[in-house]
Amino acid sequence: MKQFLLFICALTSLAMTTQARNTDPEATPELRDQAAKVMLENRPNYLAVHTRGLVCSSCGIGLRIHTSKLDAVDKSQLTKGVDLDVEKQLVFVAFKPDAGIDVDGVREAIYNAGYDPVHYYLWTEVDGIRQTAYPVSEK
Amino acid sequence: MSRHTFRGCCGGLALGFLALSPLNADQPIMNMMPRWDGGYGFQVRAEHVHRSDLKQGSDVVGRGLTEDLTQLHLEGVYTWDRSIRLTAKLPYVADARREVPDAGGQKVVQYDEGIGDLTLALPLKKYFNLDARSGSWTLAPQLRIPSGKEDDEFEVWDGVWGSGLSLGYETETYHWFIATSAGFWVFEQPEPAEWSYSLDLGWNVRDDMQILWESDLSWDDENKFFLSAGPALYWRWNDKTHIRIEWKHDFVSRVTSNRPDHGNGDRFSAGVGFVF
Repeated sequence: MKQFLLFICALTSLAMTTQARNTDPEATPELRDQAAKVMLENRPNYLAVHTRGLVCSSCGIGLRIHTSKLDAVDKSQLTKGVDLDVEKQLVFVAFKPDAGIDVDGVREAIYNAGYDPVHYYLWTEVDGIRQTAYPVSEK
Repeated sequence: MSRHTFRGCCGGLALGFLALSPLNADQPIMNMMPRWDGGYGFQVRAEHVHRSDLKQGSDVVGRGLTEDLTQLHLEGVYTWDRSIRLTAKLPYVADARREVPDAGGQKVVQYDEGIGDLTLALPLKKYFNLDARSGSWTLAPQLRIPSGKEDDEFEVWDGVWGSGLSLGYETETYHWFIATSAGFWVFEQPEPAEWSYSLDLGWNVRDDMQILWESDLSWDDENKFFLSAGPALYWRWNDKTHIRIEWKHDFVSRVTSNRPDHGNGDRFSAGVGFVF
């Protein structure tokens, strides 16, 4: 039994250390910025959010559920108004042209879906792509 | 084994059979959802188990005396907050058949069907979100509530109260998934206390598909020891509908030496889950 318990401890340690590295090559900030730029360029009604922890589409379903409930979201675009890029940890949200961009509403929706929003991207004709950090979560 | 030896091992012990408590530490929906506030869902799993021989300890004492179980599991979940959820699992024994020796050593076939024992759990989760990785720690107190009728000579579910606790850790990247958990159950007498350990390794082969290799260990106070492992496939049909198929081979199956039993057996399970 002692050997067996040692075997279990070894397996558990292996499980926790094999994925200790924190970043995948696909998710570098440069690649994420580029993906946001490609999606948002000439789309002033779109918002992109770097969402820490978003690596699995199935786990991230709640992002679409919570975000698409916002009144300003245009559900006729993307998938019910929301697309997920789990490779780059980006959430894209389409807003109705006359509704404005609900930056804080999306932030709250991402929290409620179980993730941490880090910063968001917007496109304007004057500035092009602009990146703004979200305040650190109080949750 | 000759009929004479068979009688020597098993004769007169047929009434002493106890069912093996199914631990089934997996939680709906598909062990991964919902992690969002106010999320809920349910799933239905069909499971078939085939046990080929009657054993006592590690020895086969009744070769060819089989046991086959077909069950439907109705399972539900509600997530208040990402840190707390409630799950319920209710099995229905659609068809259970086992072959055992009677006092004279002759083969007797016994059957069971009906509702099994309800299991409630309150998984408490601590999620962590990192760049390109997410995961959680889980502490899950569990309660087994006897719900079935003891109206057959063979009962798949024990029909006793039980309480359990499990601790789990899981983490996932865009490509890989790994989860491990350990737990124990304490039941009313005469059921022995049981421990379990699992290690699951997954590869996200597509955005909507995961292939896993799952390993389960369990053992109890009466020297039972099971090791089973096998592949599983998860597929997201759409945001609401999720499908999972798994098969586990019985690699090591040692039952208690106190009485004959059928052991662990190979297991096939297919389920569909709906999440909102």
